[in-house]
Amino acid sequence: MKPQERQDDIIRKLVARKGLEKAPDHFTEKVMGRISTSPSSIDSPLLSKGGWIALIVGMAAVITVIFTIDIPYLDQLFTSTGIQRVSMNIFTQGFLETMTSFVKGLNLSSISLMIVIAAAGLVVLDRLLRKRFSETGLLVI
Amino acid sequence: MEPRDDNHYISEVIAGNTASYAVLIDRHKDLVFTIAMNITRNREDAEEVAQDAFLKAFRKLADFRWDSSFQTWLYRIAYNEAISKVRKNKVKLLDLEEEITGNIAEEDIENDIAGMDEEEQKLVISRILDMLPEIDRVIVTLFYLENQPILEISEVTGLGESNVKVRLHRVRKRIYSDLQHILLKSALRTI
Repeated sequence: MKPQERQDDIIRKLVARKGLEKAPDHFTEKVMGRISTSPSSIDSPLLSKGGWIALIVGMAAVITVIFTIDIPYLDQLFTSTGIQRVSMNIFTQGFLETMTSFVKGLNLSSISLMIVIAAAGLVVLDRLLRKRFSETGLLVI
Repeated sequence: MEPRDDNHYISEVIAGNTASYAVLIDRHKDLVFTIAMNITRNREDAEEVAQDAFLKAFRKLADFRWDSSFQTWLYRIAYNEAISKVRKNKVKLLDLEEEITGNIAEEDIENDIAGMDEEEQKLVISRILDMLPEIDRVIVTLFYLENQPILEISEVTGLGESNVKVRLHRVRKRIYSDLQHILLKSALRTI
């Protein structure tokens, strides 16, 4: 047996002799009591991961249909509501071209644009902080 | 009735049978409490940390990844709770001190230990473990007592695998050299 293995063996025997600390009496009952009186039960996400993917894909599909495919009914609808529709066709123009003309055609005001960027920034910051503090154990939920 | 694995009880809890969580608590409470004790070095704080860890794990059960081990996930929560508690109390985590190298052969140490009664052995190892830094006490518990692989210890502590290996190597030398010192002292006293 190598010296390291022999040392491990000695330490393992001694540590086993000491064993685990025993949890205090009625520990399980105390935790279960706190669970039953706690106002929040299991935190379940609003949507599962698959749900979020489906929602994003669905929204992207709707936006694509509304803004990129020529459908007479939609043209009439846009005309009647006074909104100028940016007519594009993803299938003939290519993705990048379509997206570029889509963004150009949006005519977002600078304030709207700032709001969108700020909201996206807050979401990203929230995710980063949560990740950071849950890793260090400092996040109190 | 044959005991089921952790995942069975987790499914039951998620399905609404909260009482099944008691089985998981009973199964893991001693090790969770030991991890908390290793870091807080205080029974009251350790109990609070262990309770909070189980409560947090219960609330976050929906986030549990089924392909991973429940106990590793739970121990990591307990470990983080304990570190957080120690930081709140502004207690500085100890770091490993200089290694002291001894010169008593393994065989002599084995014989000396075999000559001690059970209580003496417990006392010796408790004294040695008490002098170790908190994180190393957790590593010793997981490696020597629970026979956890390096990868699992790395997941619980958040340290890289190589870091765990280095710490384990240093802690082994440290424990061994402390053991030599204690045995040498007691041998000198008997002369």
